[in-house]
Amino acid sequence: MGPQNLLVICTSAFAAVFLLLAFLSLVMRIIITVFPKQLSKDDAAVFAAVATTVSTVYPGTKITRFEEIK
Amino acid sequence: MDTVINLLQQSGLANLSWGNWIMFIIAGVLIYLAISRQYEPLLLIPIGFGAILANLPLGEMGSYDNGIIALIYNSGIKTELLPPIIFMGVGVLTDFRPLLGRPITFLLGAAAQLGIFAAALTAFYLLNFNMKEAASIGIIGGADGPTSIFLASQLAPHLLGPIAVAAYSYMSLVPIIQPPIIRLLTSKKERNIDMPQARPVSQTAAILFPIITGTLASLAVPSSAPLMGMLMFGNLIRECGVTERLKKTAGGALIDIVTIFLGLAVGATMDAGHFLTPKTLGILILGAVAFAFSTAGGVIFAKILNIFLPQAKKINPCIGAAGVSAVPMAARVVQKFVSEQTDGRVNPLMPAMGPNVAGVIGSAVAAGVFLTLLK
Repeated sequence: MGPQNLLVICTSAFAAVFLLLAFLSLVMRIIITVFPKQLSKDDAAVFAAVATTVSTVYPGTKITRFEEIK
Repeated sequence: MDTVINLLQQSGLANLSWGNWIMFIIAGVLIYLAISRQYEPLLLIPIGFGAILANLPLGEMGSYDNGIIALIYNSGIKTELLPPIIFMGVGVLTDFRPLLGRPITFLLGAAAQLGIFAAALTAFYLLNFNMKEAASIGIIGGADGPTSIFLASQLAPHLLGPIAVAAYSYMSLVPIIQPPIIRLLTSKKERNIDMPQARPVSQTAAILFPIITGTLASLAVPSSAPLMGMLMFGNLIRECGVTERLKKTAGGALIDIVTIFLGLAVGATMDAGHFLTPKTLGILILGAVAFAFSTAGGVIFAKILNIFLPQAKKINPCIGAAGVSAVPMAARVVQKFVSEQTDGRVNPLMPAMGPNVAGVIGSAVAAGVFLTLLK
């Protein structure tokens, strides 16, 4: 192989790495969208922390429901 | 009396060359750095001691001799067995969620392989290494020990010792090499970019990732299958949640055993005859070139991405430097650098872990492409 060929090999290899990782990036983006993490709606620890904080700031307040707004 | 003289002549002491003494000093430095500076001790201790063993005349303890280390070398490294087993353990120990939660960082892991190709081209065009040697040296820029050993053992086994030593030495020098380059390539404003939290990743996605990635990467570049297949298998037994025993073994005892064999056998390739050559000096210089270009590649590509990203989604370009692999040290270096530069306001450890683990995939794929085109 001639001297110019390593340049071709390196360029091809870099392009291959980029293309493959770009493709994986796309595939993973789709997977994350299709299989989102279900946030627990009744996380007892979070509920307790929120309830304690609110009752400290506003004594006598009763927490009946909380939700996450993104 | 003749018997005593004969015994002395048959001893290693009488057969020690100046090269052996130099190698003892080099091995001593490696062991010293591992113990006193904690530079990659799990690898540098076996490599350093392997180098001592290889330089004991008549001991037959070198990888190219006929003793027990040669047995490990011939059956574990020449056959490509040990590096993929290490990769399986790496897969078990690596959490890919930071990457999955921010898939764009796959691209930073790809860009940070720039040093592989820069070093390979420099080695070939400027330092007269042949193509196979140049590619093996270039892979040092992937900052991944097992990948470097995997490729060098196939393309340039005579350079395995210096390449492995350069790879592990520069990996441990990441805290010294990277910060000046990141500082040079980023502005204060860019260092202050505080990235939002990554998207949470479900267990289903975490399980699908190793299956899909292992399959796609191995189909695209079959030569990368030993590394990618084992890496992703290791990650699957980590994420599936039902193989605790396999996970514990692959990420614990097995990777430790293989590390011992791999380190000793690689160290034992460093007999004076193979190591003390001008090429070794060239490899050490090129290793630094590779790391510098890889760091720059990741940072510069992050800056390019930022041109196209909306304000709220801009990337702190410093995390591009973590794409050189060297998991998790490169990510920690980025975190420390940015935190210091922003008085603790910005702490991009988790964002940096994305390109960091993507870099492992990137360097394995690059090694596979080199093998396909050059073997």
